[in-house]
This record gives sequence, C-alpha cells and structure tokens, in this order.
Amino acid sequence: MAAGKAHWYKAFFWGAVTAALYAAMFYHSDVILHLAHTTPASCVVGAGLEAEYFHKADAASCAAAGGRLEAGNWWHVLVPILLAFAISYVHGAFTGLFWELMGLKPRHQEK
Amino acid sequence: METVQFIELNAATVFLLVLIGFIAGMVSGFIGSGGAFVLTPAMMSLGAPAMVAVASNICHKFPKALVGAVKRHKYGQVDVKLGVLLGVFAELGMLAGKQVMSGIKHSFGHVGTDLYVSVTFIVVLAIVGGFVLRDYRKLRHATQEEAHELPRLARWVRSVNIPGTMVHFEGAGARISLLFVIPIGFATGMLAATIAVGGFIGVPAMIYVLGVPAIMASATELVIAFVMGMGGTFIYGLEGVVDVRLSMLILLGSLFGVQLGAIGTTYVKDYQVKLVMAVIMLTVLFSRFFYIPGYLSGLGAIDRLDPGTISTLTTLGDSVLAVALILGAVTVLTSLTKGIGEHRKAELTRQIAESLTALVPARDHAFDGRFERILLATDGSEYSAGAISVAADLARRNRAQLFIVSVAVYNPEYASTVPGLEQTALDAARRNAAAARDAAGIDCEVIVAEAADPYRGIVETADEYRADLIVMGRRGRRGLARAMVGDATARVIGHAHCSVLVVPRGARGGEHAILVATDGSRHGDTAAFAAGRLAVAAGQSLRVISVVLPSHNDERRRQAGAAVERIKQSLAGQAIEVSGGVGEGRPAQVIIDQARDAGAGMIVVGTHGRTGLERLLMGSVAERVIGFAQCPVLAVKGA
Repeated sequence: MAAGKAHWYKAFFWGAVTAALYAAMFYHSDVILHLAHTTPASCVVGAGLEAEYFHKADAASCAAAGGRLEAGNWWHVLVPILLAFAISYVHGAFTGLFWELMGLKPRHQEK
Repeated sequence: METVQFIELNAATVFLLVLIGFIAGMVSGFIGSGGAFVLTPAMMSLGAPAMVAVASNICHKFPKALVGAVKRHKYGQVDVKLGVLLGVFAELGMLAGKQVMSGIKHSFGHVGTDLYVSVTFIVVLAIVGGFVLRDYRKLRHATQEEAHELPRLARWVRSVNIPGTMVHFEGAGARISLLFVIPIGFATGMLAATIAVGGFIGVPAMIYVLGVPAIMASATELVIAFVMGMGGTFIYGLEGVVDVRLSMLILLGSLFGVQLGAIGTTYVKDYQVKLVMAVIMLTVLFSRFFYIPGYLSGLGAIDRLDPGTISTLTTLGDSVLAVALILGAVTVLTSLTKGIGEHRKAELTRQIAESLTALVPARDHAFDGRFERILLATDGSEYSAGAISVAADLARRNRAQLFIVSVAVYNPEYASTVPGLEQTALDAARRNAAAARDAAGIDCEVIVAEAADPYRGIVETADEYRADLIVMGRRGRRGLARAMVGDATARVIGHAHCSVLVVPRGARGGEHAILVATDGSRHGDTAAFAAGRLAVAAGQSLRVISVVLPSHNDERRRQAGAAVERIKQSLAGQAIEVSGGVGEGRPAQVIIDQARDAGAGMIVVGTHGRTGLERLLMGSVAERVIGFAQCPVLAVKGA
C-alpha cells in the first residue's frame, strides 16, 4: 500500500536522522563535556575524555594539580539547549511514527 | 577547588539510562506527570551527584514541554497569560531554589545536596502521594457533577478583590489577584530546581487555588515547564552541571516510553491510574529512606557508619527503586496488552459483522463520482452548519449512507493526571455529533472518535468506514489568512485517501451548476471525470474551465483549450449541459469569479496531496480556491 510505504520511509528517515544526531553527540563526547565544564571558569587536568575538571579553582591550586585554568564562556550553555531541542524534535517525530507502525494507537471508537 | 563528576558512560550505564528513561517515560505517560520523580533518584543511584541529576533531568524535559504546549494551544487548552506569568515567577523561584542548592553544596558538599534533595523528595512525595491516594478513593465513587465542582478555596480566591493586582485569566474565567499567582509560580520553580518536578505544585494549585479547569491546568503547566525548564537548563548550565549526554540518553528511552504509557491509559479506568501513581510514588519515597543514614554519616551528623553498612543500605534503596520501576512497567504493559487484545477482538468482530451486512466491495479510494458513503466531520462550531446542510442534501440526492464523526480531541499523555479530561472531551464530541444528527434530519450513524489531532480522527474514521467523501466546514478567516486553509482542513486533504468537500459557513445544498477547473494534468483530468460523474448523477449542468496566465505563450493557451475540449467531448453523450472555456488571469481568482458568475453550487478541483507536506502537496491554487470560494469546494484526490 502506497501510504503504508510512505509511512515506513518517513519513519526510516526520522530514525536515521535521530541515529545520526546521537552518533555525532557521542562521537564528540569529549568536546561536549569540555564545553559543559568550561561554561563556568574551570581548571582542566588532562585532555580528551580522560580530562578532569575542577570548578571554583584558583591559579595556584590548579597549577598544583597539574592543570590549566580556562576562563568560562557563558554561551557554551547554548550547546545542550540546542541539542536538546534538535534531538527532541527528530526523535519525537520518529517515535510517533514507530509506534504507529507497530500498530499501537490510543484511539477507541464508539457508536 | 571542587569537582563535578559526570557519570562515566559505558555500555552498561548507557543501557541502564535508556532503560530507566523508557520505564520512567512509560510511567510518566501513564500517570501523566513528568516521571522525574523516578528519574532524579534513578540517576542519583547510578552515581550522578544530585545537582547533575536534577539539571540533566530538567534539560531533557523542556523541549518536550514546548511541543506539548504548542499542540494543546491549538486545542484552546492553554491559558498563555497565566502560563507565562507563572513561568516567570517560577523562574525566580528556580533561581532561589538553585541558590539554596548551591549554598548547601558550598557548605556541605555534594552529600549535603544529596541529603537535601532526598528529604525534599520524601516530604513532597508523601504529601502528593497521599493526596493522589485520597483522590483515587474519591474518584472511584464520585459522580460527574462532583468531579467538576469548583473547589471551595478557589471560590474564596476569586471573591478576593485587591485593587491594582487584579488580572483576568481566560483559563480560570475570572479576575484573580496576582498576589495568589506569584507564590504559586515561585513555589513551582523552587520545587523544580530542587527535584526537577515542579508540576506537583503547579497543577494542583491551579486547580484547587485558582479554579482553573483540570484540562487547562495540565496544559498550562506545560508552558510553565517550558519557560522554567529552559531557564533552569540555562542557570544550571552556567554552573557546568548539565550533562546533555545523560539528558539525551534518558530522552531516547523516555520518548518511546511516554507514548506507550499514554496509549496504555486509554485502556484503563481513571482511578486505576491514580492507584498506580500513588503506589509508585510511595515506593520511590520509601527507597529514599535507605540513603539518608549514609548522607547523614557523610555529613558527620550521626556516628560514622562503616562502608559495608552504607553499601548494604544503598543496595536496598536501589532495589526498592527498581521494584517501583518494574511495578510501573509491568502495570502499564499488562494493561496495554490486555486492552489491545480486547480492542482487536472487538474490532475484528465489528469488521466481520460489517462485511457480512454491507458486503461493500473493496475498491480504490480515489474518488470516482460515487457518493455511497459520506462522512460528515463536525466540531460543533458555527462553521460546521454549512457542512451539515450540504452533506445531508448530498446524502439524500445520492441515497448515500451518511456517517457523522465528531472527534474527542485530547492527548492521553496528560489525560491521566486530570480527572475528567477524557470524559469532558468525549461528552463535548457526543453533544456535537448528536446536534449535527438532529440538524441533518436524516437517518445516519454517529461516530465519536478519540484522537490527539482532529485530522487524524477524521482521516482514520474515513478509512475505517470506507468513506467516498469527507464533508467538513471551513473556518472563517479574514484578509490574508484566508489564503491559508485551516490546519485541520489542509491536513485532512493531505492525508485522506478519499476526496474532501470543504463547505463555507453559509453554504446550502440545492440545484446548482458545478464548475470544474483543470490544468490539463492527470489531477485535473481526475477532477473533471469526478465532476462529470457527479453532474450526471444529480442532473446538474457542468462548466469546465482551464486558466492561463497572461504571460503564457500561444502553445500553452492551445493546450488549455484542448484540455477543456477533451473533457467536454468525453461528456458529449450524457444528458447534461456542458459548457467550457479558457480563462486568463490568476488561476484561483478566475475560478472563483467564474463560479460566482455561473451561480455554481460547487467547485471541483484536483489535488495531488497524499501524505506529508500537506500544503505544498495540496497545491496553492486549490488552497486559495478553498480559502476564498463562496460555495463548497470538492478537492478530488489524484489516483
């Protein structure tokens, strides 16, 4: 049935976009963690996924811990907000189609 | 220096987070609240500090709240003014709440905030869980009138008049002093900053203190949740405690779960939902008790416990929490499987009975001029009046079977927390359908469909009842907005498998000419064929036109003329008067003008919409004709 097929295509499309967004987020996990932790000023010890972050640090204690002090950037906070919007939208579209394809509908009819 | 530890993500934690999100979503969809009261403790059990758990929880929620708010605003269930006002004060409450959390973290470290969050949880869940339990017992025996009565407190609040602070709220349908609104918003925000569930205060307060109907309170809460959630994510984000990976993993499971849970609610009784809600809340509450000694010991408030004891207590707490989650999951899944089984059985019986009695042969849905099964969609508004008259007239002339559908629009996701939400929507739909049946004045079958979107209810009913035609009213619009067909109409045309007749408010059925417009395409031919069959069946005259733009060349004009001639010739042997010609100008305007000049009672146009981008697919000419025509417009689906 043409409509049924279109439904599958749509579900597949939104599913693929959702998967791609999740994959991108986890692939860049280190960047996302770094952005989250450096929204306030932060002392960064190490690099990549292994990095440790300390907030409310001063230069001396940070240096003692072998880290470097990074100034905070308030706009980093927009990253989780935008990501949440994007993923929520595409994933929401996908799940709606998914359950419909599985034949689950919340509707009763009565005469 | 202080460290903020995010959960280390490995295969096991990812799986657990998605699973917890799924179950929490399912519970949340089932009992209607954010499910955060399961999520925050669950994330804490997986090792997230309280602030990270709360912040990440808030972050996964606010986009969902926005989508929900926009959807329900379309159904007129949102009091935007009240939502925004409460949201703004909630934001202030949130700032205060976060300040308290930061203060505690600063003085006592993470263990301090963990204790604070746990204790708040216990207190709030005990109060709310108790209330829900009481509600369950009341609801079980309540009559409908009792469920809709204005609470005594709300009556008093509405009677208080403090000059300079009075604001009219549409949702409450009354003037209420801001001095009552401010503390509600503030408390909602403060609670949300602490345990990520503000709705526990917001919704009951709107219902019991302001007297907002339950259906509007739950919808307006979504505006608050969005304003507050986004603000909260921002504020917590500045502290560097939002772990968006955590939020999105929970969201991954939660979105699947929410819809499953919401579907589940449609198969159970309202009081059963309340019982499940109370049991889960109280179980979660009980689980938090096991963590308290560990926190107190960490703070040095009690004698230091040995790590073995703390670990045993934590495991016990985790187990009780797991029991609460499993309990929720099992309840939802059981009611869903049972309900679906029964539903399918009933459907099958109905289909067998229908196919035995009707013996209507299966055929292509594309309109072929037959009007044997007409579905009239009514929303009870004044805009449906014309549609009722025209549908009844068509049914009489064609000896067709008339079905009347009215859609009870509500989102089951929110229905469970609000007593009577489903009932209110169903009652209204029943009233609308019955009024339409009385107005139609002919024998017909009345159907009440339940759906989250009106267009879905209409399209699915049309499919189920194998309608040849859907008849629906056109919403009155003015000026530029008329060029855009209403959302529901556009969507029905886009998604329906049969043709759709859109009727303006004042239109009436009767003996009139039919005007069909063709652009020479396949869709134009289908429309012309259908119009021809229709005119022949009703013995009405037919006018065929094709419109060219002034910029079109001679070749294009010749093609338009040929298209009109082709259709005229195909109807030559029929006992009806067929005229036709080529018009010049803006197509929609020419079609409307010619229909008016010819005194046409119906315009027939082809559309190519099947699914998806309804507007684009419907075609802008069809859309403008539907929007501006004075007579009914039949949008014929291309085969």
